[in-house]
Amino acid sequence: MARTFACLVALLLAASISSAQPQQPPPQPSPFQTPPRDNAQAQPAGSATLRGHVVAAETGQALRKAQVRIFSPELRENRLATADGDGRYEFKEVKPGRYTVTASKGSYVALQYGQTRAFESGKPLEILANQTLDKVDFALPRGGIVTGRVLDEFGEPLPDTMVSMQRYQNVNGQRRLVPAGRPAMTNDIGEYRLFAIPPGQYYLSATLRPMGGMADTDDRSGYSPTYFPGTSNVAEAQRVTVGIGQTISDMNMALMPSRMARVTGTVVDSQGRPFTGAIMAFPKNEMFMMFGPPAQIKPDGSFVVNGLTQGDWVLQTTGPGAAQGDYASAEVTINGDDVNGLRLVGTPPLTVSGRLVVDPGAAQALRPSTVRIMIGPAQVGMPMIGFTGPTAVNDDLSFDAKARPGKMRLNLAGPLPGWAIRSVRVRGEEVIDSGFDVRAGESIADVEVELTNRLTDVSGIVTTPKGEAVKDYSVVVFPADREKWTPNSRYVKTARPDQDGRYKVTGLPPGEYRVIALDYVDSNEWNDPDFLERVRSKTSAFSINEGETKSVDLRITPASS
Amino acid sequence: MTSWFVVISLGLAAYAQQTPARDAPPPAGTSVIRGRVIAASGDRPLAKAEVHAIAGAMHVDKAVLTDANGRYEIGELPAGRYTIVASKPNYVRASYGQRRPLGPGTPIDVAAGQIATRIDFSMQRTGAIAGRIVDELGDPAAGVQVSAMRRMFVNGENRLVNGGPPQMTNDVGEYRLWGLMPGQYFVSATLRSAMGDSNDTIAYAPTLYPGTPNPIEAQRIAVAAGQTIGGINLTLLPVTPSRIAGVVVDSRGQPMSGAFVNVLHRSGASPMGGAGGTQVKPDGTFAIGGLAPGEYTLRASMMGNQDEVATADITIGGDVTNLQLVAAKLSTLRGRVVFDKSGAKPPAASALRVFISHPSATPMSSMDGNATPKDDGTFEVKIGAGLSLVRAGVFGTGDWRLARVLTADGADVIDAGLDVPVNGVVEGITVEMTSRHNELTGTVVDANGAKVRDCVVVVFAQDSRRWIANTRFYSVSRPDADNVFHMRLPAGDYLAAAFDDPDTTGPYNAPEILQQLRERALAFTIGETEKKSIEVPLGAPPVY
Repeated sequence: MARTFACLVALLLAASISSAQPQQPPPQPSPFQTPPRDNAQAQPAGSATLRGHVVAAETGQALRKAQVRIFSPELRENRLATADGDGRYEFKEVKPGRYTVTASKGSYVALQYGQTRAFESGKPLEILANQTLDKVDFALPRGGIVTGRVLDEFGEPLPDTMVSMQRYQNVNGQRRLVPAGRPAMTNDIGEYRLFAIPPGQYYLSATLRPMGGMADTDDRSGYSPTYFPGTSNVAEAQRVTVGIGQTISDMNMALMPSRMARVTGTVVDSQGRPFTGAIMAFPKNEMFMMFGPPAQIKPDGSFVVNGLTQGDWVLQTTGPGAAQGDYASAEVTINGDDVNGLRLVGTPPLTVSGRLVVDPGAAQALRPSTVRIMIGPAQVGMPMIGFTGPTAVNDDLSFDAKARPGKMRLNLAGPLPGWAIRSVRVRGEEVIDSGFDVRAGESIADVEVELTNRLTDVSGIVTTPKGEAVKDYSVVVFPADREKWTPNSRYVKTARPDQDGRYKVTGLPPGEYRVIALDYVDSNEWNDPDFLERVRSKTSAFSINEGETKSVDLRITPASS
Repeated sequence: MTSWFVVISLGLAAYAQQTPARDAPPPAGTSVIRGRVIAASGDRPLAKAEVHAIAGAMHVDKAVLTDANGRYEIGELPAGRYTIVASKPNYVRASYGQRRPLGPGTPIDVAAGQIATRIDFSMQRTGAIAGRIVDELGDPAAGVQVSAMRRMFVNGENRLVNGGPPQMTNDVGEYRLWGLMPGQYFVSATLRSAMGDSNDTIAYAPTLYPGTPNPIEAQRIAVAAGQTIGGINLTLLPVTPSRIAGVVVDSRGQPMSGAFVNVLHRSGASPMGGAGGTQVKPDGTFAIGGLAPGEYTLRASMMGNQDEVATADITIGGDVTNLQLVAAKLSTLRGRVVFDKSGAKPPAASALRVFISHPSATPMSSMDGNATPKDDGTFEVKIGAGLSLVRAGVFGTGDWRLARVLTADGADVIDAGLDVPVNGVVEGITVEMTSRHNELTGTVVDANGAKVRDCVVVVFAQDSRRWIANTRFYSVSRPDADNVFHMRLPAGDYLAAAFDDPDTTGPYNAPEILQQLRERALAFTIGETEKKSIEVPLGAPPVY
């Protein structure tokens, strides 16, 4: 497990809370002349101040020019302040709300405020109007540095190879190797340099995806992703341990050559004419970091895609398409041999139309023009290439969205402060979590999307069995019903305490829940069904109704039990 | 996605001008070409180099990779005249028989059944520029975007354009720009932090080596093949940043909540990716801090939806807080492509493409469009408003070219363009194609009357009012293996100039350059179907 560097991180926070609570003026009608107002509430002008210092953890030396960012997704605030020569930074006129604060500089490990361990989430800061938050300080540890060279099987340097430190993470319910931190690219002499690496154990991986390549050649040589010291099998790879501020040099690797396949075929649009545009190929189940240029479809509709390693791939069209934004895709499994004669037929986008449904009392608080609907693949993580963007809702609450054939989900595009989708009904059935099938040639009408602004609010404090307050912990909330433990579920949430030791979870759908407070939860494990099952017996239960604000105080669950 | 779209349109123009591209597999033959590729330094064999045998007249382009010993063999070639080209990442492309790096090669003739051997290459590595970037306090500057730039004329303006992919400095401020072809470069460093709002009191303008924001004062760095120029260090120049704020509304007058506002440089050294950006808040307002003084274009649109775009050109010299961007829906242009009765068989509609461009707009603020006509020749395309030029081309054959673009009133706007109204519809455009064409051929001769092959021929209009971006009255070519150059032009009065440009700086269609070339150029006139032959004297290259 990652070495904790809590001993090197000093967090001092003395908040001086002023007495005023933010005023809530009633919603006003908004003629276009005056600046338009937000949904439901007027946005108070920013009046709070936030400041602190950024220093190096080992030496205490000020880190001048460190970059500090405050971010509030609900308010869509994203601001930057640069620390001065003494490492001091300040944000003025901050709007009240809940923020995450992050500090970074060069080769130091970037930290979220409240983060005491690598790969842990930070703690949010609850900022009130006219409040001054002082001493929001950061002590950044030095990151690790890994350097080396990547060569091909002839000993020649390999440029344009992506090198990264990878660790296992829970992505959409699957354990996968994912790059941690920013990857590096090798230069013409095959050299790379990775820096600002948080301490931990990793697999060093190098991947070269060909960018384009010859169409008219019989050559099929390429390289599979390779792990240090030089194997394409992760089970045989050597784990690399990086300590705080440690430099590891000469991590050299030769890439493993492998045979790559070519796929040829034709693409026509929905009217049978050659498709105008290009074809992209991406791995079906992997996180694909490097996209080469798409393969152009020739005027006769034929295409050639090179450089596919073994595995499952998805070919998808991009670009203008023929007449009305047609789109075509196909799945291909490569086992080393070329695939020829693939025929893709385009389908025009289908219409999914319907209306928003809002409780009569809440209807006045909603401005339909700020609501945007997006229909995307139900499987989260699929690239959104070829999908149409968000659709605005009309003033009469109706909407006409475009969708592709496949299993789809309907979501709000972008956060809508104060609102959430309560239900999505297609053909009379509830599909908000399951998604719905869009079939080729069939448009869908009469979709009902229920919005509610009566969001739930669960908050509380955590104490030890002796009744002492615990200021640093992680809370995980999940539904009693195991069926709802799906990837990216609406019902599973995690939260960290603010500067007063209080956690808050908003927007949970009404229902029955379990909740637990733990000393530490890895930021990529908290929604893993295996983890939820392990902790289930130690949870408390609560239930919550629509619009309810509930206080649920907890006892900390010790790590050993 | 903009970049490869442009490549398509240029490629289409090339298709329309040259001999037809192949659309059937080339005939198999019995000729063979063999050779070896080595690295110039150290005489090492170069494996995995790509060698092409190209015979343009027969539409043959066959390629193989060299083996571990650097050897290659390209077989089953039909007899003919071939240009052989070798390429490999990080090596300068070599053409067999070239007399200088990146110069034109000498083709070889191969008979049926003949095995041409010893078609060898000695390839030079590309060059590199390396150095270290520090901030004004002397601390290493990490995360700085560094680019090798070349001076080019784009739309008549002297701009610095990226000459290779940008690199980021590492944690100790070091960078290495590699894969550079021999030539002259400028090094530009930018630390971008204008994402979102900020009250910072220091920002950095793009800084050019040795330490100036001004392209005129920047120092050129000459990079030869295989050479690494180190020590190109520079200190970032702090400037007092400005903050811009305003509101974005869509075409219905509603706040464009969730749209993204991009800030793009309009002139000078323009780093890739623009100067900054931020998301529009639910009430339609936005704010971006940390911008250096300069000329910018703001562009706001919803992610994934280009139907509604708001643009504004601004000059920043201090805070600007009352911006109002209003998005316009794209306008519609409808018309029909017709073919005159000049003899050749009209192509299938699916091989046609109609392109609309906006010559006076900055690249990022224009909304160009293109469309494939239906089988009856009609087309509809969505484009941004403003002065628009209509062009059309045919894939796969050079027989047809654009002759006239007529409005519903019968006016020919092929060169003048037409004014597309905001949120409007333009109907009744007739795009006339013809297969009638002229043929200009010529040779370039030096002071001794000898024919010159290593040169560039620039043909441009005598009337300087036609020296505008996207003009039809301009063409560039090089003499082929027989020392002859070929062109097709709209009928008119022209000037032809030829010169040797080893740095291939081009393009040459800026008025200042054409003004220089005019002095020693040869004047001629060519009619619509005339076959004309000229002899162009070799002159001195233009000065940039």
